[in-house]
Amino acid sequence: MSSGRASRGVTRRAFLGALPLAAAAASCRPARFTPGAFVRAAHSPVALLPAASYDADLVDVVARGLRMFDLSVAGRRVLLKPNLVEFERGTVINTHPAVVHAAAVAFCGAGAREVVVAEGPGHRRDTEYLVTASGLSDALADAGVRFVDLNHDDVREVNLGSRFTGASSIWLPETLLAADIVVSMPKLKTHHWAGMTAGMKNLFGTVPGAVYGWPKNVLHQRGIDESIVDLNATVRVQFTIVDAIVAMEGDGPIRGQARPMGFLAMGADVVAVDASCARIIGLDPQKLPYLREAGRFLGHADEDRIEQRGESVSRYRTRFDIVDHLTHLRA
Amino acid sequence: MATPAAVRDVIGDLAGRLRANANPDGGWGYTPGHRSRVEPTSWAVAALAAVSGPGDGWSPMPHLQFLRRRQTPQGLLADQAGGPPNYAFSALAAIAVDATFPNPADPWFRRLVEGIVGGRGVAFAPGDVRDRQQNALQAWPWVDGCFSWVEPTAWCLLLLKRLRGQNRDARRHARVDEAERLLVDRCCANGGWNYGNAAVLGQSLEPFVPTTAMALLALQDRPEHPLVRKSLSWLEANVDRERSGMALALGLICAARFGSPSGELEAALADQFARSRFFDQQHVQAMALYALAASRTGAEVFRV
Repeated sequence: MSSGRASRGVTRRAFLGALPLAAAAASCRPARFTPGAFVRAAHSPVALLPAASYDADLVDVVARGLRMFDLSVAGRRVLLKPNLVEFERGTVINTHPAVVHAAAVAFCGAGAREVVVAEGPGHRRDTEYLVTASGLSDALADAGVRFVDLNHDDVREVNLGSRFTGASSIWLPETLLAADIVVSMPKLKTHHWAGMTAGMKNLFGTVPGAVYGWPKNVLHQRGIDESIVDLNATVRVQFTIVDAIVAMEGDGPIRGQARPMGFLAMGADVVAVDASCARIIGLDPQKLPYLREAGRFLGHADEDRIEQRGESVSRYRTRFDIVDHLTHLRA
Repeated sequence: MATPAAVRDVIGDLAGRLRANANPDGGWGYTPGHRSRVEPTSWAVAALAAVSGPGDGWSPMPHLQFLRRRQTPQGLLADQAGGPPNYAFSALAAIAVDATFPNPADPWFRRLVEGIVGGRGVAFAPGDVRDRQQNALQAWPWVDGCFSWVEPTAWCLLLLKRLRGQNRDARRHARVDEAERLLVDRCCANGGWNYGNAAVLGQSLEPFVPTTAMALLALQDRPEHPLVRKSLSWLEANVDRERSGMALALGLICAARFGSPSGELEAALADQFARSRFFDQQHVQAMALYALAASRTGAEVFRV
């Protein structure tokens, strides 16, 4: 989206360059988050589980992943939030329906009281077309779970959990707010404004289009990085499953190219999962402003605070193509 | 392929559903049992007015009262008290009210229109040179403080064109002119519109059926403009490629306004309802009801 090039009128390079000044000025303005409101474990596990293709036994892969974490699912309402922004045949824009299906079956199998798949597509408001054409509708019917359109759900105004955008509140869907467990299920992609889209950026799809429009331009106007952090400080993701079986590189999140990677990344700390994904695709998490800021209070971005389970980062490390104006994000 | 009798059955089914699912406050939610919102209520008013006649017991008044109660101090309508007013749906409500129960002297209506005329999207410096997009053009955003996009611009532009006969002041003329230029600027390479970027970083983006239909409705008085002709051709070639109630209904309304053949679209829309019930989305059911009921008489609500 062209209007997203700037972060509240400031280029991303300028945003990065201004950070020392911003730090100096920080003492003059209200705190952007309340440290005591966010509890982190000393270390965050992240699992990388091989899945060669979408024909693999993904239910088994996801179920094994869930067992690696201390996530209490029994009797709880689970909301799976895939990335379903737009549909173009033959592209890899969205979380693959087979991964969503596998997660739905695995969470049901783990004893969830209810599992719903919920998304508020960011570009297209024609949910019937998008859900059907993408194949998600058939996958959900097979799994026996329903789809909730977050763009058109009932909404409630909530206070933001942090103040990076300067805003104090946002309207969010009731179904999202009522869920006991929110699972972010992005497609791993490079992103021509944010650098990378994974578990944290995926929350843009929780912002209701019927309130803010298509695209969710208010998030770009308030600053993409700042909005990512504020949303993640508000909608607390309890688990993340990244579809990196086939990822996207280059001019993502829409016009990039498919990059087969062959794994799912999982974890309870979305910041740690995203930091591992960034390292895998050749980006430095500390150079991604939203990841660096989130690593100060929401989760762990430091490599020495992340406990890798399953396969190693080095097994999958691949230097993704990235648009020219973001090469400074490389590790 | 749905027969004419099947199409009539769908019209009856949709009208029955909408009448049964109105909320006690007079509005409709996006799905049955959910809170009333401006957009589905506006579509439902237009649709039920199109199929209702004297003596059938339907009155628009409770529904219009719901819309009236949604007005904010700046004149625009907002779904929730304290929520951001929405230009697209404010304009849609104004179109529905003006077309079905016109009263241009009504202070409520005048404040609504003035709120729309007074709003504009933010301007940007030129973006990537490869995109040739004029970011300084200011039409309408979804909400204040944002960039201009196709859907809010289309509905606001269509409204101001509808009202030209009542008010020809220079400010409105300037808004119409700039909004037209913005839609022309955002037209995709092969015709049609998406949410509002024809290209990003030098890569062309694809148009969508619903937004193409909306933009064409707003430009229906420019049928000879090359981009309108190209976009209408794109729509006619692609309208049934995006199988959904929204795409087919808006495509059918557009066909009615441009005098394009519509019989197959009617049947496809009825078939789609049988297949999906439009996912129970009431704004789409109302769009479809209006399209099926009014397409053969020119879809007058959307005439400019």
